[in-house]
Amino acid sequence: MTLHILSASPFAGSCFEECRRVIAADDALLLTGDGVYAAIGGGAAVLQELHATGVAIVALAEDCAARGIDARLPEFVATVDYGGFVDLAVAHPRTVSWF
Amino acid sequence: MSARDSAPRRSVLVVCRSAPYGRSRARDAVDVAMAFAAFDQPVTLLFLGDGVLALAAGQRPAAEFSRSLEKLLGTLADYGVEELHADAAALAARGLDAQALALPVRLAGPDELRELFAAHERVLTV
Repeated sequence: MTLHILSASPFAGSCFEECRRVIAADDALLLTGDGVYAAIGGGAAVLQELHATGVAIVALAEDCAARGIDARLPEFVATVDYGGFVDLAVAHPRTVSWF
Repeated sequence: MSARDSAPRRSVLVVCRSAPYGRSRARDAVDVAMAFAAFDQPVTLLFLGDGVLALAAGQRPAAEFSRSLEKLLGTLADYGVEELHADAAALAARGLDAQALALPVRLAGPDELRELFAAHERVLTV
């Protein structure tokens, strides 16, 4: 039960790849900042695989809207506002930041 | 009673994700692990992805530029940091094996990596 917070673009470094390799089925992945770009393009297929194993995939709505990708999010990606971000942090005993 | 005696003990996993000399992050990860141990916090140090490069034996940085991270790693045990793990796939991808490392570490495959994250109360990625 870990909340992984990805805030770097999957195209900018190894954050997304390393997060993907250590994430477990009962974990959640929250995309914030440039991390929301993981939900479009090639990253979406990776996220779909994680979602199929039981990982909850969530994106911060404000950061998706800022980047103009909110209408292109796959249906399995849930969105939250900052209140939802806090709820996720409270609901998980540990968080891991990928930045 | 000092603050040190009264501090709650919480297990922490420090994850080193960066190669040793381009930036200061790898040294920062080792420093923070030592600091946790100095305050009697149970600490595990995991070298993940490019972080495994910090473990390579034979590091000889020019003295005027940088201190040897390899020498610092050699003092981890003195500080009480004895749980050392490395990402096995990342080592293999970078042409390193256990014989090429500066000190003994446990090699972690996919399942062991997930277990390490789940087994600690706090995780700090550096």
